[in-house]
Amino acid sequence: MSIETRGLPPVGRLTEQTTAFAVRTLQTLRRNGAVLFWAVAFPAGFYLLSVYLFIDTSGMPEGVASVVKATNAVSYGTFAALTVFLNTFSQSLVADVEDGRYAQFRALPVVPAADFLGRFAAAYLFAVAAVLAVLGVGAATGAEYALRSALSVPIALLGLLALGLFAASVAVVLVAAVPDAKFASIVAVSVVMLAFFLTGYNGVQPGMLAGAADFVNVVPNALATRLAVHHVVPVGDWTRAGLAAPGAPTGTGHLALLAGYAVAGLGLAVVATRRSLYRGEVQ
Amino acid sequence: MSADQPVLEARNVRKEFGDDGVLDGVDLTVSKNEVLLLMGPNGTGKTVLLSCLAGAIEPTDGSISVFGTPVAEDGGHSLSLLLQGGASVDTLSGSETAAFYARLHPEFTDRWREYVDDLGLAGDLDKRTKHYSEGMKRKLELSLALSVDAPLYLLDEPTAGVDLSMVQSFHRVVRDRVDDGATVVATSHRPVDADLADRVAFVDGGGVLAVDTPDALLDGVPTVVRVVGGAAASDALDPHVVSEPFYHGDERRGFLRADATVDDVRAAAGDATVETVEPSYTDAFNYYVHAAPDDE
Repeated sequence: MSIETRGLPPVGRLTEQTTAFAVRTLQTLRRNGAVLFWAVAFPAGFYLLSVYLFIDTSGMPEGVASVVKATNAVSYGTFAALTVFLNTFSQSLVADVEDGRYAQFRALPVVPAADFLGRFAAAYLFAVAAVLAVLGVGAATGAEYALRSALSVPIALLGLLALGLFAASVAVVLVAAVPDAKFASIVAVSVVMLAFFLTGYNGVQPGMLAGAADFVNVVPNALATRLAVHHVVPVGDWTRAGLAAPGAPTGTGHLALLAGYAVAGLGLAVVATRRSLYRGEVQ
Repeated sequence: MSADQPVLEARNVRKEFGDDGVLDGVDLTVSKNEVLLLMGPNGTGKTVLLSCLAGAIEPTDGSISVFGTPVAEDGGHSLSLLLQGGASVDTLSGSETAAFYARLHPEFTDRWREYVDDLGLAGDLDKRTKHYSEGMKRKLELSLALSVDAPLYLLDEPTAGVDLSMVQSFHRVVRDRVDDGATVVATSHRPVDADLADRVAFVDGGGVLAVDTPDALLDGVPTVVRVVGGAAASDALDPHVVSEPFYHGDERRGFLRADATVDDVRAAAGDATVETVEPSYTDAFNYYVHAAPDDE
């Protein structure tokens, strides 16, 4: 019997293994009722509470109310995505760590990058679906969306991709660093909530922040949210809509910053996956 | 690879988790195309040892090579590992689990379909594995592990949770790979698995206590005395047997000391029935793991 690898070349193997992790992650996610609740139902419910109980839109002119609702829908959509990228992603890792599957994976010729990329691809698709669900609830309650250009959807998706890579890398580091892996999910939920509130609801209400709010055009969750608002909501005057100051993140520097988050997140996640999950002994 | 080169060689392997030492200087050599069974009590590090041999866990000290290459450099290409519960995901069906591993290993073959059929699992492949019994999970895991076209298989308690009527079927599919030239290292604490082995190694955390062919190991067991009934306390038998008698159901069995006779035991056992019997694998297990260390 030969021991030479008669299978696929390295790139083909990476693709196959990435697909394996992506398919498995999607299968497990869609069968997990708790995940569906926290990633879709909870953000949508949070949105409804905001626009019906916390924000008085009844006195607003119709055009303003629809924009406020759309802006909040994008904000809670990002909240949903962040829940997927941080909490759901870490839960998926924790399940494999706690059930001893990483010991199995380490004895297989698995490319660690394929593990991360596959899980992330599934999480990204799931996050897009969660965002669309919240935006759909927004539309049903009167939120108005409008694309700024033909590139608006790709840009918003790339913003979400950058946010996702950054957040998922944090999830991997949490699982690797927290001594008891199951607590990583609790920490991840805390990070989602802190990120949401400390940035003025993902950057759509900078006025609620006590100090200067310029950082909402810098930190990844708020930057991605505000970029998406700029591209899919017909805001008009950002100051009247409560989105300024600062102004819309429309500069190439903002896009470059998001690209930087994506690259740094991807690099950190692949290194952490290789060193901690595939060479370390997270048990 | 030369004919004499070991398939797997472990030298002075130690493993500690924090302050807890699980393995303390294990030496092991596995030859081509043999089935080596690692037997030992629960909690003595058999799974940890097997995981170290597979490269799934890094030893604290010592060296492990497969086909002459350090196992860490082999990257899982030369071996296939079965870890109890390591393959199954509760929310996936048997078929979905197989599809996942088929994509992960470049040497994965379609052989698993034949094995699940042989093991009687074919009709349950669409069920999620959370509805599987432990035995069904072992069937799936063994089928998947043996479907990888690897020259070395490392199997962690492949028959755990499997009813006795199925054990021979498990042995048959393992033998199928050995007949194709593969080498197998398996852990077990079930004496019935000794039927599968070319060699048996009795291990505890301190290392390998004894390793040889099953017949040679049985030959090395002192005369076994079987004590049935009687009111005599086991303490009364202690001076005449190695270590102490072991309970085997309602009877007691002991290993006759070199300086004692069966009549000595009869005298100590009072009205109990005392006879000598051929050693079983259970006797061999008790002798090499529990009694022999006390005899040294």
